[in-house]
Amino acid sequence: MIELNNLTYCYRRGFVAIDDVTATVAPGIHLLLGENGAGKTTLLRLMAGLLIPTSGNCIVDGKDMRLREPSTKKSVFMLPDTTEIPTKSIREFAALHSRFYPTFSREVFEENLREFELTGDENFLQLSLGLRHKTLLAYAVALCVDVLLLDEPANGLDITSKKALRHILARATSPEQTVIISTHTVSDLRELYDGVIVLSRGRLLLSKQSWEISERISCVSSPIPPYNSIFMEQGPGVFHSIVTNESGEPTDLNYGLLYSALMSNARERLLDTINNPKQERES
Amino acid sequence: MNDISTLSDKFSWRRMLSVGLMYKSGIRTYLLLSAAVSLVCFMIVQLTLQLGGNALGVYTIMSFIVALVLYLGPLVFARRDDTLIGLLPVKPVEKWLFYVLFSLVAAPVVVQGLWYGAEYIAKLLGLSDNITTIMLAKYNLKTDIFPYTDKAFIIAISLVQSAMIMVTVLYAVLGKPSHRVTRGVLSFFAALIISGLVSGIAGAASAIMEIGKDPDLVHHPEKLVVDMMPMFSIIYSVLAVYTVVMLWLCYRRIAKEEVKA
Repeated sequence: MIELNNLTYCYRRGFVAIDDVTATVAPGIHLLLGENGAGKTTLLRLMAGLLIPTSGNCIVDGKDMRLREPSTKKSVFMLPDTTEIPTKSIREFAALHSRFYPTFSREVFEENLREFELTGDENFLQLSLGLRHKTLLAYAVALCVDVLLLDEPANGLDITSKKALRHILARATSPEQTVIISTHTVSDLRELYDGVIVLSRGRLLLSKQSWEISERISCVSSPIPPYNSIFMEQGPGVFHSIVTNESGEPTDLNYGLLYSALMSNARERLLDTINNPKQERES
Repeated sequence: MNDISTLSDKFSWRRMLSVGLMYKSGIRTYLLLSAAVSLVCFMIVQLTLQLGGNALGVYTIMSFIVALVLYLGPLVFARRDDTLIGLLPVKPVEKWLFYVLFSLVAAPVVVQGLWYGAEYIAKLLGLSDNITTIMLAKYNLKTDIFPYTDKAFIIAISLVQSAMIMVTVLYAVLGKPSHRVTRGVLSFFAALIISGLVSGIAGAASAIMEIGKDPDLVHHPEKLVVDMMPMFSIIYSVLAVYTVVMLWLCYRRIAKEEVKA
């Protein structure tokens, strides 16, 4: 579990990248959304202990990441959108680096490589961006850490690889793990998400479990605009809308539509609907 | 080192050494290259001494090359991306100690150890005497101008100067990820020039002052050098304090490091 308590981060020139964010992120796979420059990567790096908060704190499994103790750091791993490894191949890197992580699973690593159609012995520097990313993903997921932070994991992946990534995450992540995925392409892994976190200009708009959201709103597509929709987008011959979920039964969420609504004038009404149960709103 | 992950949060020498795993190939390349350079430079000096030529010039150049290789050892830690190092489950003090021990102990042991080791072996085999002895005799330089205790002082100030330069390079390399190698090289030259200038200016000023007091010292350089020792003590004490401060700043840089996107 991750607890963010009044977390604020300012860059040196006074730019506030994360502004007083308070949230609890339960175990599960969470989608992290936000516009360019919203602070998604900064938030991931704060959670990973790579940045020191200006104020507030980030607690992972009861330990403050600011202290940077080995016992905390070995349960957290972040895979940025691009990085280099100090060895020729990912297999050599795994042999050295995995010694620091007690939860690393060689079986999961081999299976991930197979799923991505890789041997692990490829020369990393000679691989394309997409292939490098796949090798790193195969390794990162195999670490089986309590908190796994993925920044744009589907970046550079072809359609088949995205399917493989979905399959790997579904197979290899346990219910006790917290996985946060920052991505602009919400459709790639939509079936996996247990929760969503939305940032805008460093501020937290929403941090909720998917079932909580889907109990209160429904995402519908219809040929005519629905009555009293909270938000609506027009597509070719169809209207995609967010309406209040009168039944209270969980429905499928359209994360892209949810994000668009949060970035529009409908934000306040949408957040009011999501954050306040029907009875409270009616009273 | 398979049980690194099970160690507690207390300081661990094993975990400290394991930081080197992340720099394994760079460290291996550096040690092999620096050893080769040290040996080749030694042999070039030996050949010049045996075959004739400007041995003093060759010795100066080869010594500089070996010093360059030694002082730029911290460049092994220059990476474009610090994310994986920043995530590594090690204590900041363990990371710091590894960088310092490699730069100030391991690298000099390899580089200078090979030079002096080769010299010793050559002497044992009767192939050659100590290079310094040969050079001093060949160029008729005054040698025994220091009593034994002051020779120890000369070694101490040499160590301080070396440490000072290496720590400066290390500090530069531990800074922002951009242009680390360039910063490291520039800081090496800056430290070398500044320490040389400070020593030279202070030494010259001190010599002029002493000669001003006793003009006869011009004919007795060994006495002049002895009279200047207090000045050198002050200069190198300052450099030693600088080195300690830089070591602390290196630790602070690591402890407070932020790996930005």
